[in-house]
Amino acid sequence: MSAAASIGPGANNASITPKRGYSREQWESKLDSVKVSKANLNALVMNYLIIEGYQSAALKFAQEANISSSVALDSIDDRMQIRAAIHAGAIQEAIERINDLNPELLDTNPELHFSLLRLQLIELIRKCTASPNGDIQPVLSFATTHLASRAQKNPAFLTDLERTMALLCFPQDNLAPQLAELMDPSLRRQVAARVNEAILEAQGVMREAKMRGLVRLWGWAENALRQEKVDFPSLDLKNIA
Amino acid sequence: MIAEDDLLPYLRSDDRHGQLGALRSLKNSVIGHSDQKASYLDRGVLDDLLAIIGTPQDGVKDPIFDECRIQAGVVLGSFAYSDLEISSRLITPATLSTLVKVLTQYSPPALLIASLRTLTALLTLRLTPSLVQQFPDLAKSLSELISHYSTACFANYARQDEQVLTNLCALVPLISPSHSSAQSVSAELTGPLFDLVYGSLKSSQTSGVVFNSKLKSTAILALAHVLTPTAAREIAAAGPKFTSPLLALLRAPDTSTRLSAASLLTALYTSGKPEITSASGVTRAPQITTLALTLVPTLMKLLDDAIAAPDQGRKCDPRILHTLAILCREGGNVTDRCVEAGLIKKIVSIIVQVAPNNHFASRRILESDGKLLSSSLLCLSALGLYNEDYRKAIIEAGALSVVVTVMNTANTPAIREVKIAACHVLRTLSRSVRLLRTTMVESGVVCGIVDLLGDAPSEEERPLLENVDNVGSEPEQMDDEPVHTTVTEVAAEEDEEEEDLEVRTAAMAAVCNLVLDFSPLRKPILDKGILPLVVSGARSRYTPLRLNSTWALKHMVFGDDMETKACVMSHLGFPLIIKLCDDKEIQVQEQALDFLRNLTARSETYIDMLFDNVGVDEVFRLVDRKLSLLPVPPIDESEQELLSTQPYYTKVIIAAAYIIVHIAAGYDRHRETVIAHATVLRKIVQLMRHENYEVRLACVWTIINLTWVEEPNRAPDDVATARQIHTVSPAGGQSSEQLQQEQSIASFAELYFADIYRRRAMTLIRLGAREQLEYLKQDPVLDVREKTKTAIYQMDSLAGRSSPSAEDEQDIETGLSRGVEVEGGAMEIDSELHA
Repeated sequence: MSAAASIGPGANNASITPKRGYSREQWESKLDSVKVSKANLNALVMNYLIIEGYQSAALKFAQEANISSSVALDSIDDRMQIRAAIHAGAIQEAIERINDLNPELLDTNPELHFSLLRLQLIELIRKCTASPNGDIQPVLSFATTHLASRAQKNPAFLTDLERTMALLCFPQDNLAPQLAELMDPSLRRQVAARVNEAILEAQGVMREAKMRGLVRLWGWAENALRQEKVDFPSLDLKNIA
Repeated sequence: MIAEDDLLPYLRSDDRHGQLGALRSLKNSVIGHSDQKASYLDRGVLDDLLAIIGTPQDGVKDPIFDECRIQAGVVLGSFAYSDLEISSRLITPATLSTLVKVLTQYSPPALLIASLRTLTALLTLRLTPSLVQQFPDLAKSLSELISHYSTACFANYARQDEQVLTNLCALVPLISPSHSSAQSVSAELTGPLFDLVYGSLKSSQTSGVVFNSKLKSTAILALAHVLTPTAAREIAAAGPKFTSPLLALLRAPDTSTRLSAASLLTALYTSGKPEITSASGVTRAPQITTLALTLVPTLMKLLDDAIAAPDQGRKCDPRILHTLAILCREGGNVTDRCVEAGLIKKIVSIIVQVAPNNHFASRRILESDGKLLSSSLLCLSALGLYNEDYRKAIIEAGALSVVVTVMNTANTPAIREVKIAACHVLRTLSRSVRLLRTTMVESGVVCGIVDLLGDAPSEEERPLLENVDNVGSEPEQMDDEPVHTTVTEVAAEEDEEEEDLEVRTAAMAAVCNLVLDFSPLRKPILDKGILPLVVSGARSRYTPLRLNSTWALKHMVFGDDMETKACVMSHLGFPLIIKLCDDKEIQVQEQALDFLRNLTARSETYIDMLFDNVGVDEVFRLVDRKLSLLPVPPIDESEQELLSTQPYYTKVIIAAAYIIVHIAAGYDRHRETVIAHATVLRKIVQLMRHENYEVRLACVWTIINLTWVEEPNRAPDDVATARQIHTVSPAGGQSSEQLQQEQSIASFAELYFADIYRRRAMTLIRLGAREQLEYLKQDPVLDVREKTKTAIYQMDSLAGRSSPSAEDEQDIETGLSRGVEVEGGAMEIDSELHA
């Protein structure tokens, strides 16, 4: 929406319900009149850094902004190592790190555990199919010991497992899109993100940075204003990124 | 890494490094793998783990050994977080005592966390009723740990300290699941928990970055759990400095914080009422209702979200409904809002989700399901407490069939709690005379209740033995510090049964209204052999049970059913009931005196039986004591407890006065005993100026009954007395003719009684009754004025005063037709029972 289209409040006296609107300058000055305390802003930034896992930045920021660290700062590093391990395909290492950090997590979150184990299975398949004469045995034995019994109890697990095992049947360079997804590194990133969220949630920290919620709230408010037919310059995320 | 098959020998070796490695491998192979867990348990790994955890550090500090204990603790925790089949194998005395020992000794924080987690998981699975009673030091240890780690956390934050704290707080409600056990740990835990909550509320206001909401919510819930009414009043009196940040938390982003804040605020403002005495007759401060109305939307939103979840409320947090239940007990606006928001239907929909038809019989109800079911039922019972329409709505929503199913399900620890809640629903529904006569005619309820009451056989036996030499002595106080060894033993025994006592108290509350004379369930319940159970309840040292049992007995002797009265008396006996009349608890006294009031109503037989067993003078001494009862004046306004017990003192006076009314409604010789006890009569005359109209009415009834002229043919007993006197009297001629003698006797009796009646009237006039009656002619209450007219007419006729005008006679005629009818018995279907 362009600023030129807006009319100042009260400019149109003729209509019964005056059309409200704000020029960019008016809007900015309105925004500036809302006082946000430095402490709140700092808290918002700190919250973002912690949840998104920027440990060194968070530590630096905490020092500079003089924020007492009643925060799970020390777990950031653990979470980042776990994330790195999953990204690198070192799933066993990731699982062991998770168990060290929070031994309850995989016991109480079978879906998450299953997705990690399936990722581990995919890594085994990747290894086995990488060479022409790769040994299929480790894949089969891992699937039987760790995944088969779970799949029996849960139909969703069974579908996932069947699809994963299908990877063994097709050449890696010519997979159907559904199967190709499994071999794509983005699956690791997805699982890593879920692990991160689960750890944060178990620690009683919001799984999402407060700033993201605020941005959504802003969007909701803009919509509400538009429905009221109020003219105003909308927020351009590019400008604040 | 050690191969999995070789782990166990390493666990058992003295090689600490090998042991540690084996434990780490074990940890990674069991977490998330149920089959592995089962297999290791089969091979006896539990004992190995407990041995490692339980070996305390001796002297020299060995970090490797500490780490071994920590890892063993973590592995044990993993076993606890598994399927029911696996985790329930962990619940052994050895496990519990090893874990508790970790808490009571100096232990590294990581081991504390692991042990607390394990205990929490196990206790969530199956509440071991009295962990605090099995381990008397536990509450103190927890209190010290909470203080220690709070101080550490506030001074210099560390995540591990925070984790210890969170886990400590999570354990608090679990070690003291019952109301009474929560109150018993309150003294130890309230202080440290309050400091922790207050500190965390304050710090979140000042720094508030990503303060762990989990710690905050568990700490708040723990505090809400242990809060005693006294502590609640103290904290609430401290004002907005504590409550306003709590109110702000009602809008917190995460559900558990919102719920915890709502539940603590509820505990703060509703537990202002004393434990035993009820709220009836005490008006609540308006701000409490206002607060409740703020909390209802928060809680309803939480409930709606839970119902909207994919599982349709199956995993709804039971504390939402529990808190709503407490709020709804307030009645009035709060309940209306909840019903308007569709709470009744929502609850029933949750019940149907958790326990569909036949679910009870076919499958085990899990502890977590049990909690949700019981708080659902509790909430229903609270909704119907004061409103007939809501009771109807509860029935229409289909709740009664659930209650009946629950009551007839075999007992498991989980189902028992549900049964207690079902008893509360029954009690609520039985407040409706209409429902009692119609819908509730479902004898399926009866077996369930009797089973619950008979649940604790040990209590049933013991008091019978002990009562023999305990009659007339003061009952031991539950809370007293036991002095003698024997007392200690008995007290401990009673403590262990506390859970049972709560069950029986709830069941007894349900029984109360069901045994009223117009209830179709009275006979089925009595036929089930409930009387010994009720009598044993009346002997209990546990006041709420004693109260409800005495109440039930009172209702059993209500009405004209002589068979039931005889049956009750054959089990009860007078010594116990007289002892209850002097109970240390005023409400029990009220019920016991009401029992005597009902027993003697329209029943000369039982007046005689009372006199024969207790002694005439003793009966009048008892009544005299009660009529002289003056409530202790409250020391200051904040003494809520005293203020709210005030009504009971009046109720005791009313009950005692009606015993006299009923004795005076017996035969002439019964009336003579009343006339002969001038102290009591003088009290009655004085009480005609009592502020409570029911007291005044009872006094007027006494006068009416004492001045009643018995028709000779209605009292063969008294004519016989006259005949006897006549025969021995020298004035009675030795005439030979039968007819003449009969006539002579009749005329003698007339004279004899006329004299007696006149003397009675004169006695009353001498005591000042006539002046008092004159005063009551202007009584604000119509009923009192009407009865006063009757009393004045009868008294004046006997004393030979001028007869009243014709117009008055008209009135009196109607009055006389009911003349000696005793004023009904004591039956309070809608009264508050303690449960």
